[in-house]
Amino acid sequence: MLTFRQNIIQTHALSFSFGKRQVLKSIELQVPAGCIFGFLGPNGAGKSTTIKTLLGLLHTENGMIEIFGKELNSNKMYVLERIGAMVESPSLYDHLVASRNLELTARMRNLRLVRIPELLDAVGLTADAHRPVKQYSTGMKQRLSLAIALLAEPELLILDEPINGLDPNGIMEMRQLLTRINQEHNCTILLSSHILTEIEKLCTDVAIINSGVLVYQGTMQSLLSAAIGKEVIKIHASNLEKASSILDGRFAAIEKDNKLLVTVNQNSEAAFVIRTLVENGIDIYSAERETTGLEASFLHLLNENHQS
Amino acid sequence: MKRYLQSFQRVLRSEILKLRGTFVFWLTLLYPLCTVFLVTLIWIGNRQAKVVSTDQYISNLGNSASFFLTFFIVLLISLACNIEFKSSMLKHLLALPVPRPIIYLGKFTGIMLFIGLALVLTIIFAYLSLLICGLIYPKLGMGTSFNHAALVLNLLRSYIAAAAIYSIQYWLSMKLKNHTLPVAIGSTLIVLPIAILIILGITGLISRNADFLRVITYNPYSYPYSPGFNFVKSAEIVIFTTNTIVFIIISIAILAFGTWEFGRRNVS
Repeated sequence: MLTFRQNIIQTHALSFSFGKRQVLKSIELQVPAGCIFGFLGPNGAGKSTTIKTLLGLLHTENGMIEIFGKELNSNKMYVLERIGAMVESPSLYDHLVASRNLELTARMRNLRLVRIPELLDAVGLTADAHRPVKQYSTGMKQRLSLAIALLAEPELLILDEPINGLDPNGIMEMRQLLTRINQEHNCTILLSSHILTEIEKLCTDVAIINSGVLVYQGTMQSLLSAAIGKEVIKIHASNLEKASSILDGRFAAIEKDNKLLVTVNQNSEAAFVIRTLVENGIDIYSAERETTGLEASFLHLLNENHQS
Repeated sequence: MKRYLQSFQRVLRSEILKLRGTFVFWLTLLYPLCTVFLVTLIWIGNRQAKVVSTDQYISNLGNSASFFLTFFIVLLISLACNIEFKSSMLKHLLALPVPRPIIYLGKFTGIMLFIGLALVLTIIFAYLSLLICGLIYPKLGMGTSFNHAALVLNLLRSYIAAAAIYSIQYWLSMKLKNHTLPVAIGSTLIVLPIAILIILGITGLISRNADFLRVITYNPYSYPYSPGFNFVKSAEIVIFTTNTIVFIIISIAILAFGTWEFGRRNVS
């Protein structure tokens, strides 16, 4: 039995390449048992690839993966029996009804079918259980996928972008559901996302990956405290790509929702950023200050990694 | 071993459950129904003839069923495998605690059960059609000298002769995410020998029956319907010919290779 704060997942020098392109570079991931672990990173950073290697979908060339204290490749069935997973988009048979989708996974896992109504109820799909999945909204599909992942009462839940495509209400419901699963069943949850505000609300621990390199891992609290004194300015400008390249190397900047997010340390730096952009022919439509938080830490770490 | 067998049984049962109600299921009904319907139409055309022999019906059914069988197999296998790609289910399946070879072989067996069902349905529909024909035109019925063994063996021969298609098409369909590509490859391999024959026949490069057959029998995709091109008919139905045995060996080898390759595959 694993005790609290013992690592449920541990990777050693985990590397992976797609052809000549190295996607993961010597990742040393440590996920403590019992936590909700946020796995953050920009698109293409290597989040999904890491998750796929943890599930044995991609075969690692170098490095080692230990889950529940056992090496993955030689104990794959033992490990997978204790994991519930949702990889990228919801994986469901569209032509089948929700209960049949659950039944298929239950049969493959040799589980009793009596839990199906209970799970459908837990994800709020009882009323729609007999409708074909192709008639479901994205949120309903996400919830059904989660129910499938929960079928085996897993000790570890691995969710790749579980809140993608959900409306604000759906995101809130998903957050409440995951918190409940974590607290009531002491289930460790590893979830990847690029929606920072949600990760900040949900996760107790966090790791940040950028260009295949793990740039941070630790508690959410320590990450947030690293952001104290930093601010994020949200700039709405005419040419975000050009603006981003102008600031490249000097400030941490990412594009998000047609706006440029820039981390600065003080007011004078904010003024400098705006002045530089204007002098380089960028039209600024608006610039607003964001409160410090995960976004600032995230940008700061990405920038540090970029400069090194 | 017992655990593996139980896993295999579970995968097989899931496969049947998920294919039920899909186009794969309807295709399994449509193929025998259409084939028997076509043969029955030709059979009814004999109603004015003075003498009719049910051997003609059996021969027509065998030839038609074997020709359409090749297309049926290509389409059925591609559709059954595409279900996993269409909804990104392969990732989900491979993240379950079931050994990959069991998933690969279990799915293959599930598909083979549907193909077997098509054979059974063809036989049932053939009997039904002769029964109905016999009620309307008594001389088109089964009569007393109907060769039941010939009907079954003639159909069974084509299904066994198609051995290599099963594993080649299955491997292609599990390998290529795009459903159109395996169908295109399979269909091309089915009709290519006929196209070659037409060209060589027109140009006069081949004229002997044996040469005609050579082009068709060396291709696993056209071999099942080759008896239809054998104009020197033999009364005996040989199921395990040399070609069939070779194609069965090839099939087993490709299935083994496919299982090994599937186990090592990276699923991105």
